[in-house]
Amino acid sequence: MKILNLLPRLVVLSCIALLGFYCPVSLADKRPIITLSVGLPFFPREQSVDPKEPIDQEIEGKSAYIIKIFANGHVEYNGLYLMDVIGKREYQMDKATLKALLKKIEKESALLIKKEQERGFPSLINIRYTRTQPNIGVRVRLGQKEVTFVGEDTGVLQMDIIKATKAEQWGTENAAVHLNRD
Amino acid sequence: MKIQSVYAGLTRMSMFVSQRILRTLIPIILSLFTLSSNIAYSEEEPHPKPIFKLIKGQGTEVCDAYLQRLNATEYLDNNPAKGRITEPLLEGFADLKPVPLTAEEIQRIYFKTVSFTRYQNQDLVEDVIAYHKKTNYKSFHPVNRAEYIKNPLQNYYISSNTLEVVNKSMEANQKTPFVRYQLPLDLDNDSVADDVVIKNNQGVYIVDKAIKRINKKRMNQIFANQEALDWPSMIQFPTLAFPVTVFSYKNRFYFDGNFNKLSFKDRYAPNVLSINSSDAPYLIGVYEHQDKKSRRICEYEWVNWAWSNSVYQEWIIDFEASYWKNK
Repeated sequence: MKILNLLPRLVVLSCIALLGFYCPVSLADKRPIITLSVGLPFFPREQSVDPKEPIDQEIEGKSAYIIKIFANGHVEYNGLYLMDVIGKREYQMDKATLKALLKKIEKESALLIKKEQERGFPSLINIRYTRTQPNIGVRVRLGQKEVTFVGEDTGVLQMDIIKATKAEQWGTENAAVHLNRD
Repeated sequence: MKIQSVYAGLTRMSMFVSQRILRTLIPIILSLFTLSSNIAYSEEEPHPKPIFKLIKGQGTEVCDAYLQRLNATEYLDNNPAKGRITEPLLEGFADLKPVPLTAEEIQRIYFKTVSFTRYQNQDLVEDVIAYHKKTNYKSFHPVNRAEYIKNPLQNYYISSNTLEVVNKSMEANQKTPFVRYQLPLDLDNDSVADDVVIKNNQGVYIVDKAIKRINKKRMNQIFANQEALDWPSMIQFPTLAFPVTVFSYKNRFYFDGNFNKLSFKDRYAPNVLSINSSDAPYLIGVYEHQDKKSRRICEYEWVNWAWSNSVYQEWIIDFEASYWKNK
């Protein structure tokens, strides 16, 4: 009976040993621990582009995909618009890679938060700018807290996530430079 | 008058565009303009009373009943996007007993609603004001600092919330006042009426009992697109419809609003939820929340809607700005 009572604690402790502080939160619910998304889940801006023209910055963000990473290393990809791979795909990260990614993201997130604090007051103009460029968002669950980073600063996190989840296979590298195929 | 302004615009354009291109463009632009002016209402003409037709949900009782109500409703400037003056209580519809908020209540919640609608962060506007106060308004030039002390947010078309300003606004918006429903509403239809709801021209807000804060979690649960909420690159309150109106029909709660013209990431005003200017028909959807999901069960088309410059301007510009500034 005592062993049964201790079981949940043991699971949490062994999970912490393997993956760090994300486990207690992650076992409690089924939300992803890391989410990367590029673009919007709907309403892509229609734009016709001459292939001979140089790539216009405005095209950036037209692609739309989302990558969710769960506490057990399960990865869900969904490509919505202008991606090499459209639709849902799955991938299983190994534990060591997930652990390394979490460590990296924890470190980089702390730097991003510090940078945000150093920027001083929450300028409304800054909010607008960071929101417009370039349509990238990363949400990380740091312990009990959920933090969302948007805009240019998230580039480092985006690269880490793409590398760790081997998302190149779905065309994430080309996402920002695709032309309108319609 | 309009043709003259188009010519003036084309003349200005000729300074930047080659004559050859211009020769090709002028007839096209003018013919397009002539065509559009046939279907658009001029700025001087009032919009006709909106007429709706049911395009999805025929045979569903609430959809048929709500069609009658939409067509009997009186809209501000005959524009459903600008607010509703009267909503007749036809058979089956409950009186939610709206009462105007007091000036003090509006003063308390005004910045929260503006900040939430624009930036999806109800505290941001007040954070900015607090920052300026704390730093003695040093970031403003001494020449016009006094003006900014009165209202540090004037560059963003956000009014101050002094009682004087609030009272003026209440007077100007008598036809479509900021109200709260006296009864708590059961927006998720779980038989527990626990939602305190206030409403202005920009829609409804679920708030705490003291009307001090917006209940963001609840707003997201009821009114937001749940799939879009997963996307960190998406704004934090991806509403399903705008502006939202709530109603109760035969003991069940519903909400409605336009759903096909929402511009979540406008290039020029990215965080402002606006209605885009495309000439697609203006559609209103009725949503029902049940089992943790809001589903669109009826769709209506505003059949005598027509795009025009004046309507476009009224809609595309930040709602609160025009709500407070132009009145």
